[in-house]
Amino acid sequence: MTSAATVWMLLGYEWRRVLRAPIVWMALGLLLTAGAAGALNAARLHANQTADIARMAEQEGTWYADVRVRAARYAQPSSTPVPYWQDPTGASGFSRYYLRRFAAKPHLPLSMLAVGQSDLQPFAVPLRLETLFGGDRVYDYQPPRALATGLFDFSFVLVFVLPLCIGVVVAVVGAHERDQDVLSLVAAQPLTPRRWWSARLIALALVLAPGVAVVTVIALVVAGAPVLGDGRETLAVAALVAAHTLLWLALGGACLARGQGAIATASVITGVWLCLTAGVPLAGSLAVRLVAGPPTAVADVNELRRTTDDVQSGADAVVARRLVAHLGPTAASIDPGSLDYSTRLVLITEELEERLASQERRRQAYARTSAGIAAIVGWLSPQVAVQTALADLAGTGTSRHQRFLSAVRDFQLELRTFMNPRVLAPVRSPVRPACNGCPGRLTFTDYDAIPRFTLQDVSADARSAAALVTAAWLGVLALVVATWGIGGGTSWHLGS
Amino acid sequence: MLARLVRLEILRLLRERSLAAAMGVFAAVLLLSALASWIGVRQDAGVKAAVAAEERQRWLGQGTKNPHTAAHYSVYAFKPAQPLQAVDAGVSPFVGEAVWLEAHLQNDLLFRPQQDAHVFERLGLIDPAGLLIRFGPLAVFLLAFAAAAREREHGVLGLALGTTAARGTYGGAKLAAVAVLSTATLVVPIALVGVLAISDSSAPADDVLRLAGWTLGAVTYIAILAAIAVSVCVAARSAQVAFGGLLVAWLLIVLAALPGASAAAAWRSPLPSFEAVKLTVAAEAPAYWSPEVGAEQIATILQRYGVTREADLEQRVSVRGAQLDVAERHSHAVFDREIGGFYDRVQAQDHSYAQFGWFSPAVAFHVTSTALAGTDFFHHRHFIDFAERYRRALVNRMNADLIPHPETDGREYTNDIALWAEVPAFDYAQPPVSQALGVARPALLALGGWLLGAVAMLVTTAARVKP
Repeated sequence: MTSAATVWMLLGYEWRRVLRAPIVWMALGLLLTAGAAGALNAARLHANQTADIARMAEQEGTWYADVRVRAARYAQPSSTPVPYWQDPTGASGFSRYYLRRFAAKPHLPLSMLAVGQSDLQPFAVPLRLETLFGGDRVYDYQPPRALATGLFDFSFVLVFVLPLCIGVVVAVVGAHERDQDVLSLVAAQPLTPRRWWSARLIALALVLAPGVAVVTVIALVVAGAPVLGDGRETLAVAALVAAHTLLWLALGGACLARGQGAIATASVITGVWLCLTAGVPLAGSLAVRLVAGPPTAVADVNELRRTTDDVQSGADAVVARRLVAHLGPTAASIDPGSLDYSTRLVLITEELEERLASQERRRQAYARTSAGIAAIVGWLSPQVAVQTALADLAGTGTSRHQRFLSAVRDFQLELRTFMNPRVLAPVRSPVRPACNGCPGRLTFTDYDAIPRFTLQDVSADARSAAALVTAAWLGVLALVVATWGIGGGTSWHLGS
Repeated sequence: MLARLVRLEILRLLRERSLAAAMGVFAAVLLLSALASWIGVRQDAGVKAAVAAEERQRWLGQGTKNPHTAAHYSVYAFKPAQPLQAVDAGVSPFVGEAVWLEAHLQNDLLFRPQQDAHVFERLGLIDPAGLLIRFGPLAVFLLAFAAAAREREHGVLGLALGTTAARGTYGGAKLAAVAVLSTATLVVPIALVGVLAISDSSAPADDVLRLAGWTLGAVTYIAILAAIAVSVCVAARSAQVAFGGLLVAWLLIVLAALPGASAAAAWRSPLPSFEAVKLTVAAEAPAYWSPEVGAEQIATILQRYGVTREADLEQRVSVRGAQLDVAERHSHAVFDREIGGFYDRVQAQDHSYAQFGWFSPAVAFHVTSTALAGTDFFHHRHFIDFAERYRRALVNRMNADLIPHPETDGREYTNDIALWAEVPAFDYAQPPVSQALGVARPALLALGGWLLGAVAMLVTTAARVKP
């Protein structure tokens, strides 16, 4: 029999043996059951959030319908006066008390893949013109205890449970002969240890890698994911989990080839898992604290209150100065005290943002440092890399959220650009009442012209490509570990 | 006899250098994590106390202004860091720590420490109790495996059994040795930092009881795990089976149990959408009302004062102040029903989660630990309610001052520090330990049940063990 024929025969034998091993099917069954339950959990959370976004849109529609009714009523002569803050037809009153817009971060098709930070970070942000540096600080209120334990989702299964399952399967199937004291019989055959371990690991890989990938796709289908809708992303997920599987399989194989039994192999895998899952992220968190020092929200509040007091104590001067900046030197004659609160607020907000710009820059610098360390930690810990890649594919990661927050800020500036000139215009040249005896000021009624928020998402291609880069990195790691392990397995280690 | 056996077991385990080194690493990691937490909590407490003092000075020194303007200026309240947060951070990284107590609105607590965190930061939360609950079992199982499974592996189980008077003594000695070493390695470092943390406590007696209770709970958790592990190792036919059994046990009753129980509690006691709650609040208790609602408020006020025309009131009452008061009191009922009702549901879900303690000792101890450390939702809610009561008292006091003072000659009424000083400083104290124990009752019962069950399992397996 030729050497190639021997290899194929050995591989075929090992492959059949792996297929017959009950623990392989038990592990795949466990992953499927737990994975489907996790994906359903995430799908439920995201379905609720999507319903909330729809509810907010509906509520906004109802709000503007009511505003239009009021606008029509106040455009009719009436003896009842309407103060500016109750008048949606005046630009200044509208800008402060009636303007409603929100920015939503809709869920992506594969969102059930990972809850990521979607239970923690807001999916919809109400906008006001006077909020400093973006939208209101709001969040969806998930039970804090659930946030602390983490939601049981599919990524939990793939990142935490999968490596341990693979470790146990590889240890039990791979170390069978050694633990049953029959390895010497194998050693007596015309076979090198490297070839035997290679065949065994390849057989395990041929069953487990596609097995886990298929289990992943089935779990997603169970949770209602449109896996055929965009095949590229589904393929990227499958490649990612297959590469992750191969990495842990390679680690187990390396231990076995170097003479370890089942217990030692499983111990090494558990130890490495512990380091990568808890140790590296812990070190990363400490690094962020040491390098950047997280911004202290309480101290920021203090600075905000102090600055607000300073600005308010000289509010008239601030308003006068900024009016001139907006409207030209002729505005110097305007008495700031004669302006309504909403109009003054436009200018006060500008002043506050200017004075608190350093605080905002500190926050952004911290976010950049944190993102940089997140990237390093991702390269160092396959667990973090997989978790991040899954969250990015699902659209529930921090990077997408940061883009969302940045888009929210841009949208707020767009709203200000739209609204503020309309608020300030009557200051320069007061408008005459649109109708005699109408309580409404009627300086702004074009509600349909108010800009709306749209989020420009990263394309599915880019998301898939990023996940494939992670998969390739894990694949390379798996290859290196397997080569190192099997390359060192030059003896049968019968004495150990 | 038992004491000698326990001593022998401990000495034998300590002689294994790799095992001793591994346990030393566990102890060092827990100690460092507890110290880091403690330093963080102290710094946090210091910053909050200083800013709260400044906030009080700002309130008192806000000058002369209309009381309603003062109610809008109001104060920020900061949730004080509790000393035992160094032991178990609980929900603290996931809840806000500051709230603006302004008129018209029951604001959310803002600035959650984990709000903008990356994945790795959430995975790498430095929390000694969290490490103990999730990864401590690995250390206990390692010790139990070394103590119980290797005798069978080395073929000396029969000899070992022959040296003891009874099988129960054999199992008991193993359990005691594993539990003592695990406690020394995993619980003592955290408890010592806990002692440091409560040394400058403002409620020392309560905190001592809390720490003592936490330590007792942690030792119980360790004892449960030790009994389970020794039972599995004694009953298993081979070391391989024992190891596999322990790994699966850790995966099922610890690692997956915590998020699994959370998910199950969410299925069992689902929450309404918080967004829907906020929309209802905004619709039913808006901060700014329409002319139509204003007219209804004035009708109510006229009825209250027994007059028919607004003009009859304007000389003796600030109608705007009275309107603010009507709107404020109306909003309280809405907030209690909607926001309070939502928080009730969150607590009900926590209660449901605690009942899953019967399925996992990790869940039972998790609930116990956060309750005793004062870092569960019950304690958070206690702060929210306190802050809201303070806000209502402040706003009501401002409105009460405004109502009898109508505008004179078109000038609005103002007041000064004499009124601001009538509002006491925001001085929060956490609830007593007795209340915390009441909340943790289902988990405490489950923890006790697990202990009894685990010991019974050990007694049974030890009696049936065959060399």
